[in-house]
Amino acid sequence: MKTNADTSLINQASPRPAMNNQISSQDSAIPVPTLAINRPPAITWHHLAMNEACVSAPALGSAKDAVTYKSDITYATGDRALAAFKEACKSYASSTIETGVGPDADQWLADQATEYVSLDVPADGHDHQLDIDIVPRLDGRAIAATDIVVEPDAHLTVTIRIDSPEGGAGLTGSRLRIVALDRSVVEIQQLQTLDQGWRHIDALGIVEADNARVHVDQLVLGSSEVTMGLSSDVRGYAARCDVDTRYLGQNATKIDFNYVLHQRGKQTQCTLIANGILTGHASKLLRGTIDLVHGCKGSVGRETETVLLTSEHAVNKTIPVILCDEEDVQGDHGATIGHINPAQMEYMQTRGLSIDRIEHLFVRSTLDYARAHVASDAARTSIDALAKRTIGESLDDDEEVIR
Amino acid sequence: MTKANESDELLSVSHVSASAGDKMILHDVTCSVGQGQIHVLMGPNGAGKSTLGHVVMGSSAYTVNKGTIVFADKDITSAGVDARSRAGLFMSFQSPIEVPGVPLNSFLKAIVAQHDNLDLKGKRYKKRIAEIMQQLDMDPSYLNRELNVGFSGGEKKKIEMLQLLLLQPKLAILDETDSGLDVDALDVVSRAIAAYRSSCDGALLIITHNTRILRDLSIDRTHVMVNGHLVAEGSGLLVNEINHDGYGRFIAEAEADQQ
Repeated sequence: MKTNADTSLINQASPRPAMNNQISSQDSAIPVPTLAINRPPAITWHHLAMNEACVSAPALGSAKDAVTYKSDITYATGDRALAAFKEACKSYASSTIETGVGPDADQWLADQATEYVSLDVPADGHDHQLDIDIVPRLDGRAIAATDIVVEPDAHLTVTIRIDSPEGGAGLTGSRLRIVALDRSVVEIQQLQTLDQGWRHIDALGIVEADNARVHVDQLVLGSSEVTMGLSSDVRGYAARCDVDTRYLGQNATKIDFNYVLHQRGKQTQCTLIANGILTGHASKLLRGTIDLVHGCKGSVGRETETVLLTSEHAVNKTIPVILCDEEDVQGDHGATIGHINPAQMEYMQTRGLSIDRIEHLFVRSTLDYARAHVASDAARTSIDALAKRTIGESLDDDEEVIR
Repeated sequence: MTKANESDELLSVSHVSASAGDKMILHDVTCSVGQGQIHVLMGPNGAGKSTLGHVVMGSSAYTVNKGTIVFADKDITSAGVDARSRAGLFMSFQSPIEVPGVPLNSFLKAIVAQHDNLDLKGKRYKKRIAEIMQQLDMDPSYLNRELNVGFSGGEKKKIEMLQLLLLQPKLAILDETDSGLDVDALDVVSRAIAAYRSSCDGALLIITHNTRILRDLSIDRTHVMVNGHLVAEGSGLLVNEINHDGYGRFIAEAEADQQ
C-alpha cells in the first residue's frame, strides 16, 4: 500500500523541473517522479517559493471501478473519445486548451487517467446532465479525464463528486476540458470529500465563445493534499465565467490553487470568489490571476477572497494578480484575511460557546453550507460521512444534536 | 409573577467598580434582581448602563476592580463569558455582531447543544425553531443566511429575540433592544419578551430609553444610573416620572453627592 508518508506531497518551497526523477527522502531506493505544477502566468519573487508547487507523481495501480459516468447523452469512451472531441471542437484546437496546472501536469493526468470520456452536448431544448463520480473503494489511482463540447445554445450541468472511504490511501484526479460554444450555458458543481490518506489533483480548462456562460462551483472539503488548477479562456464577445470556490483545510492539509481567467473577448465578465477556513496546521496558497488581454474592451474582472484562520498554526498565502493590456476595462481585487476577531468571539461566547466550540463551529458551518448547497443525495451522503469522520457530528437536523 | 425575597435572589451585584483601560466607569454599584422579576435600568447617555450589562455578562473589555457578582447562588465574578451563558445569563446586544461564514442555523444548533437545560434534539429542535420564527414573523430562509450579515437593524434584533426564546435563560439583559426599531419591529420585540416571560418566567434587566417597550410589562424595580453610579431605585412608577421629567433631578443629585 502506498501511503502519504512515502509520496511526500506538495513542496512549495522547492520548485523543480517538471517530471524529474527525484529520490524520496523516505525511501532512497525508489525514485518518485515529481511534477512542477500550478505556475501562474506572472510569477513573483522566487525567494517567496510561491511560483509553483511540486507534487510527487508516483506510479500507483489503478483503483478498479473508481470512476463512473452517468449522463442523459451518449458519450464516447477510450480511444474514440479524443477523436470525437477534436471533431466537435471545430475551430478550437484541443491541444491549446490550458487547464491551469501547466502542460506537464495536464499531460500526466491525461496519461494516467483511469477513464477517458468525451461528450458533445446538443442544443435540443433540454438541460443536459453529466455526473462524474470519482470514488475509489480500494487504494490506488482514480483519475477521470473528460472532454466536453457544448454546442451553441446548449445547456449542461456537470457534477463531479470525489470521495473516498475512511482510511486507505491513493491519488484521485480530474482533468476536465470544456469548450462552451456560442450562447451555451454550463454549470459545473464539484464536491471533494476525500479522507486524509488521499491526495487530489484537479485540472479544469474552459474555452468560451460568444455569449457563453460558465459557472464553476467548487466545494473542497477533504484530503491531505489538494492541488487545483483552472484556466478559462474567455475569448467570445460578452462571454462570462464565474468561479466560486469554498474550501476547508483541517489538520495538516495543504491546498494549492492556480486559477487563471484570460479575458480576451470584448465585454466579457469574470469573477473569482474564494472563501475558506483553515484550522490546525493547514495551509493554503491561492494564485488568482485576472488577465485582461489586449482587445477585451469593456471587460470586467473581479477577484474576491475571504479566508478565516481559526488556529495560530494555520498558514494562508495569496498571490492576487490583475494583468492588464487594454484600456476601458475594470479589474478589482478584494480580500479579507484573518483570525476570528475579538468582538465576534465574545458575541458567540455570550451564547455559551467556548473558544474551542467556536473554532469547531466554523468548520461545521462550512460543512453545513456545503450540505445545503449540493443537489444530490449521494453528495449529501459524502458530506455527512466526512462530518462524522472529522468532527464526529451528524449534519442532519433530523438526527440527534451531539455535544 | 414571582416576587423576589431574600431566598430567591437570582442576580446580586455587590459594590462593583469596573474600568475600561485606565478609565473607571462603574463606581461601587450594588443592585439585585430576583427570580422572575423585571427590572429597568435607565439613565442619560454615557451613564454606564450598557457597561453594567456587559460587566455582568463578563465582557473582557472591562475589568472588575472591586466587588462581586453572584448569579444563581454562585460567585461568577471571575467566570468566563461562555460559562455565564451556560449558567443561564443572556444578553441581547444593542448592535449584534456580524459573523461571516457561520449560517444562522449552524449557530443556533451549536448554542442549543451547549445548554444542558434544553431538550431540543433532532426534530424537536426544528419544530421549536419553526414555532419561534413564526412567532417573530421571521422568514425561514434567514436560517441559511450568515449570522447577522446583511440583515437590517430590525432583523438583527429579531435574531436576538429568536436566541432569547430558544435558550430560555434565567435572566436576560436587554441592552437597548428597542433602539432604532420602527413600530412594527418594536411590537415583535414586545411579543418576544411576553413569550419569554410566559414560557419560562425568566427575569429581565431592561436597559432602555424608550417606555414603549415597557408598556405591557409589570415592572418590579427601576434603577437610575448617572456617571457610573446607581443614584436612585424605585418601583415601576419611577419610569413614568423619568418619562415626564427627564433625568435632571438625578443628575443634579449625583453632582451634589460627588462634590
